[in-house]
Amino acid sequence: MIENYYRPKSTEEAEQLLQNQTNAVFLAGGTQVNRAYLEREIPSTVIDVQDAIPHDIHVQQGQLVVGAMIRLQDLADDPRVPEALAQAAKFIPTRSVRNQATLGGNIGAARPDSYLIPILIAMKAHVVTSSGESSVEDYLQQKKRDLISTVSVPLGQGAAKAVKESRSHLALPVVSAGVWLKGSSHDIQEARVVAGCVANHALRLTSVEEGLVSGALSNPDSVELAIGQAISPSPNLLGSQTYKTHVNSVVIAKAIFACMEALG
Amino acid sequence: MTIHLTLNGRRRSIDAPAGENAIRLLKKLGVDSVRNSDDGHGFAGSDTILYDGRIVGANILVAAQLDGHEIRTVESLRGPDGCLSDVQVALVESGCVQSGYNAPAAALMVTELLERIPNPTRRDVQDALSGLFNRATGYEQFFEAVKLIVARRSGHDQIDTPVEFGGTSRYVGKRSNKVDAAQLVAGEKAFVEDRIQADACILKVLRSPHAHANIQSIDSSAAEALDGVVAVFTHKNVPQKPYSQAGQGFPEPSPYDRVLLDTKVRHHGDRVAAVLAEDEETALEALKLIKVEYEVLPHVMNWDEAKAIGAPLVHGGPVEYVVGAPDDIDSQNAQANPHETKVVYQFPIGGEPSKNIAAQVSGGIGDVEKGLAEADVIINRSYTTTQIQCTPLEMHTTYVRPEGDRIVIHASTQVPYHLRRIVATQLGISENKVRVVKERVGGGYGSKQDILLDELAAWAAYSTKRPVFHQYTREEEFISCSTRKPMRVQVELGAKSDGTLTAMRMNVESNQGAYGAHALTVPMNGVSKSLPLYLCENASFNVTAYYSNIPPTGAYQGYGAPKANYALQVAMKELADELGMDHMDLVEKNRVRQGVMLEILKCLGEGREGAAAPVDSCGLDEALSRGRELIDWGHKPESSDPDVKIGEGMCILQQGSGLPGLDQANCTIKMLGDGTFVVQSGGADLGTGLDTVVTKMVAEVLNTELSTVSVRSGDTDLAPFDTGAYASSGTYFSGGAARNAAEKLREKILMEAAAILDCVPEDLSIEFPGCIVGGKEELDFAKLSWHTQGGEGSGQLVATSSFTTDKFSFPYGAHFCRVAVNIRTGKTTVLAYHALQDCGVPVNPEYARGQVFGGVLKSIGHALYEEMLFDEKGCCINPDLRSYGVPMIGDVPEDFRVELVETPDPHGPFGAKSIAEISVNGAAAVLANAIHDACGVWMRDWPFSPENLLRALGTIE
Repeated sequence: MIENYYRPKSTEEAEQLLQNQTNAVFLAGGTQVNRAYLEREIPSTVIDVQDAIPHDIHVQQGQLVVGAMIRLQDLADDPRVPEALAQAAKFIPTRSVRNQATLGGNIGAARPDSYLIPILIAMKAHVVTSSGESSVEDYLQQKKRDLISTVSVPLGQGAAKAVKESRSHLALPVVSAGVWLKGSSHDIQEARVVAGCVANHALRLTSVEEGLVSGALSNPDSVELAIGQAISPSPNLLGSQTYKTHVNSVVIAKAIFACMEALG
Repeated sequence: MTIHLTLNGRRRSIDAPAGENAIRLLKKLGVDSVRNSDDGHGFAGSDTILYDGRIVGANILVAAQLDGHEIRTVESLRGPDGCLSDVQVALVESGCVQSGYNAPAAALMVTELLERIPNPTRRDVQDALSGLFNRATGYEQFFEAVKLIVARRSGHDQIDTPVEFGGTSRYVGKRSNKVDAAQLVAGEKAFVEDRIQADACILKVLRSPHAHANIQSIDSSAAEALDGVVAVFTHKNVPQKPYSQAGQGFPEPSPYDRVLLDTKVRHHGDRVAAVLAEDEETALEALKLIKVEYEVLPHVMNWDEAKAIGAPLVHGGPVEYVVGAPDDIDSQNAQANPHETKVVYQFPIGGEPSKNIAAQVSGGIGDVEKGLAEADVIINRSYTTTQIQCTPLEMHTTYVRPEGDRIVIHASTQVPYHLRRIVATQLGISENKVRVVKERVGGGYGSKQDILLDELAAWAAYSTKRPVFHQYTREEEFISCSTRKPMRVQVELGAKSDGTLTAMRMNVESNQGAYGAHALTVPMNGVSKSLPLYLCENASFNVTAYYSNIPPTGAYQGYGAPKANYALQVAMKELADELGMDHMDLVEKNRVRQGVMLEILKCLGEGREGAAAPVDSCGLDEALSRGRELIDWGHKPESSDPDVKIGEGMCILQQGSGLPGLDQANCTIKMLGDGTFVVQSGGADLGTGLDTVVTKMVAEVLNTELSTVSVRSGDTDLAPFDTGAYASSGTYFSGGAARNAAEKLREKILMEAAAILDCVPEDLSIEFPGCIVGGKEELDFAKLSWHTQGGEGSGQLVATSSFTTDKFSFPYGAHFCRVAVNIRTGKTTVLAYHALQDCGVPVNPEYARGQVFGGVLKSIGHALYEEMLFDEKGCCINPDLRSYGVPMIGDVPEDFRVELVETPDPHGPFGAKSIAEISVNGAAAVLANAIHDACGVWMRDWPFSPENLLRALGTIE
């Protein structure tokens, strides 16, 4: 049972509260923390950051700057949000969860099957926390607990696509991935391919990225093969390793070629 | 902390723990309409509220998050005069409110949608309702409801002329609102959980972590010592009286093979002990204090493991028979363990627990071997189906309270009278000491035909004299509930080269699970609701139900038919391919027709001796021709995506209308002082509209306004006996009893009126609304009642009648679909699904359509998505709605149609036959056939998941 509840007015106050409490967590929308009753240790203290963290969107110096408390439905609806990121938000299959869940909360929860994290990493998104700015990729890799206040996404570069695959509309995903390519379809200068659902964290498929940039991977079969070699998903209730490898290879490869086509 | 919020426009403050679940907080504030269907998984949507104008799930909000915010619940939708909003009215009129457990949530979602988007698209509606799990309706009518609201807000009253049935009948076959729909969509108190009093204790059950184990020792002393614990129950202090949880007519064709709490557990989730405490937290804490030592036993999870030589015995105790013990009973019991609970059969059903066989039967007509010898083509195929959950929105719930020397059970049940009998027997008291009050049922689909928790709660209440509330968690729904039995169905067909069937043979192996509820009747029903669809002189079957250590199985909508019909209908397409014939042509050549005699029913009596039966009504002619036209059979489009292949499929299906010769329904109608009527029906409306059927039957016969008839059903103290709502008996039997009682009352009315008017009854008739004409003056019902109930009157006019029959009335149907199969990902998308359904004369057309939509979508889920998964220890690893995989509105086919084919039946009331149950019998076959048409692989095992399809294609190993 949550025994202590705080609603600080600033990030500093929130960080201070976290440092002073044991078994405390930040609470954003609550779709993860409150479900922790069922899945994880119950926090005794929650620090609700709804009044401490911005939730607006603005464009600044070629970057989309998003308050981390933005609800995912607002992210999906805002026309300034790149289509791939908006699409990833819409992948969360229910409106009620999109209305409650936040961008910062989604990153902080670091679920391996997050729909947002792969495309954020692919698009080189950064987070701003009390300890400074870092890429989403670094923030997650270093398992930071700093409170995220904003998320920035570069605009107007390359082509991006988010993809998901699940057995039914609300089923847990077997594929959640993000792809971002820069250059042209015949000359890819930079590539980022990120797969969720294949490890215990979102995984950059660097060998695939390198193959795309070097031109070694230029047809669907070779791309699919390379993706299959780059991942090793664990079998679980969603399927066997063979199936998960296959379907990730097919769906991510298709996303890569869709990006190539968009690049022209 | 003190929480300040604006609730439905009113500022409120309340002290509550910060981390308290928001549903609980709202209940404290007097809001009952926000309900729990998923224990906070954020899946089902029954917990929907508007939070600062946005739909969210209260179950994943803590109380403190409401502080400073504006909260709206369905209670805010009523107008100042108390009337329903236009959204609520449209949901009711469009047939969207069946069980109604989360109808308030749906109303909030649609309201929010229309505030955002006044004229939404189909996709907008899907998005708005994306978080609503609704097993009953199939969602399609929500689209229609939104259209209706938009039209009305634009000044149009209706968008389509409603399709009507029933000829000149005033009510039967005509659209009218379900009688309880307004109450449900308004979120009024209606369900068991709404009846709990403040002094109720909470019962929680300790469940087995093992699939199969002996309890070596159990120490509950620490739990008993915990403050707030009222009692702890183990095998040491409950009756050890074998019984069956199957809610079937007595004597049941199911073995009595369990006791309330046993010394052995037979599945993961089986009962070990129970705690009764003053509150839930204490009960849960006490469960942790019970120390149990287990001797873990090897387990068996399927038919092959169960029948293997030397397999562990699920039931190793002695076997007894009430009547008809087989000659080899002594040898069956030679190795029995006298310390294990015995298995008691009421009569022989072929059980041999010493071989893990719960039931076994075989039979047939003609000579199958001869038929096979005459065939030009023979196919022999095997198909398997999986364990499927009913997943009612309202989890299994009971509230039992002592009342003097009696106990009163507020139940969510399909079988109030069987519940009364089973509880009375377990408690060792007579039936007059038990009253069952069936509340509104938030979805049952068969799982509430069985007595899963009421009898334990009743023992707790009876032995402690305390009121007891007991509700399953969603996890308990998965691991300790009644489920659809997995089956392996082998079908052998022989045919001449012109397609004429010469032989049919079906071998059904059923995985019964830990206990024997419905062991015989479900697989037999699979045979009896599939083989008679085709006319063949030589047909035989064999049915074996094996005990195993999977969680219990029992009844689920369709009973055995969805599985056996899947096998037979796919086998027919496989035969058509072998013969080089069009599938529909082969079906047409051999299918059942009106006027034929079904000889095979002689050997399919389902626990009693069978008899051949004629088909007196059959709508397959029209269903097939209309279905062919709608889907444009044989002209499927090509996909522009080379990875996607389009296919089309069809099948035919049937069900029954109750169990002739076994079922009985009764009904009493009383005329009140003002000439209105109260009907006491034994029928158990489980959300399908049975009370509305009864209302219509009575009003139709008595030629009176629907509003003058009120139905009180399922209260065992008030209403006469009814077998219960299962086996598609509601409209046919309970509706039939209502009609018979109304006819009887009509006679009494005319006799009394004739005496008053100095004429003979034959001179008189009843004109609408409720006026007796033909005598010297007109006499309305109010005046008649005044005469009969006065000091010189003959007494209140009351009529009671029953309905029994030996006549079979089979509903039929033809289903068609079009699918898109992505051969690279293995995913199947249902593009179009058309269900053409013959239900005689549909009494409530909108709700009949709704039930078919619901049944079809359920069965699409069963075939494509749903799956209970177990680890190597036999424990279920996906006991929640999301990972189990139920379909949602996002899975509804873009082109989803239900058309009702009217075929007035000579035996059913006003020509009616059953409707809801049949609709789950087609999807698995029609999808498998369409997948084959698309990409050439036969899907012979459920589910047709992407991985299984890719394996069938050979894409992955």
